[in-house]
Amino acid sequence: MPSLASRYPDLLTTLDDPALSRLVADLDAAYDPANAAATPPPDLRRGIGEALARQARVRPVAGTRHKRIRSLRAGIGVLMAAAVLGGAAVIGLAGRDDPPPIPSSIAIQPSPH
Amino acid sequence: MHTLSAWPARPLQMAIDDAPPDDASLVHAAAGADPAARAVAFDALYQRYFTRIYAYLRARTANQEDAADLTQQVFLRALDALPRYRLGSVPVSAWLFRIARNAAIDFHRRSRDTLAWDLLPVECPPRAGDTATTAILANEDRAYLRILLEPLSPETREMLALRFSAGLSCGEIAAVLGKGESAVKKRLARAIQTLKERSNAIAR
Repeated sequence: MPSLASRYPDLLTTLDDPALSRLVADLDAAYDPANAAATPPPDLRRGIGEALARQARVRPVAGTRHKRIRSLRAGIGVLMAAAVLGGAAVIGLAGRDDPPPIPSSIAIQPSPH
Repeated sequence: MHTLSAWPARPLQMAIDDAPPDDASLVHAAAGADPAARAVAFDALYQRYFTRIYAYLRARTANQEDAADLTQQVFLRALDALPRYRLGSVPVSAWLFRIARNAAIDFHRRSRDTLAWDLLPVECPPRAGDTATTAILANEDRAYLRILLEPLSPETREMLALRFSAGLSCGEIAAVLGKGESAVKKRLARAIQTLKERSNAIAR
């Protein structure tokens, strides 16, 4: 096992501080995976490993499902955008309550004959 | 940045023959098309990270059973999320511990815990070979550390757990928490200083 100083060079900035060394050693012992606190119960590792091996075998080829979902989402997005634009155009046209006046230059004039 | 499908193929067997395959090769193989190779590669990742993930979750939960359940969830989530993992975006270790952290947060949100859950476990079963005295002393040490850790912010305690139980570097912790590496380094150094001062004050 490497020494504390080599494992925590960022925390043990000085080796002349026994209180600091003691604190880091205590934290290391309390959190250490090899400590009783963190030792997995017997058989847990094997149990999860077996379950995962089964899952890993039956899982579909990477990304197929997600690619399908992504393309479906993209399709829905395009349809929604088209619907929103269409709706905006209809609302815009409806907002024009008066038709524009006919310019006098093209208005129907009484025939001189 | 590459998605798994764009990552250059590297035969896992070759990597195993030379030296232990790196995390990226294992992730690539675990997301591949061959079910047997997928199972082998994911098992290698699992064996590599199991103890550290469990240790981290044990520091985040009140008892062994919860830590065991969460450990299983983490690897199942990782298996499910493999196709979405972008190689090179964050280290594999940071990606896995991010999943573990989120699993712990979800778990405590669901249980509606009102007490701080991110301190060290109150009591732990003795290790095989421990005498009654060493087990009691270990629990006393842990109780003392819990008192020291209490005034720290939850995020700082999270950083300490990732540093000590998961054994992550400051860069990896930064990737898990979405922070800058120098900020994490500063926060950890300040936390250790605070703990030391508090310990000195209690000892006086």
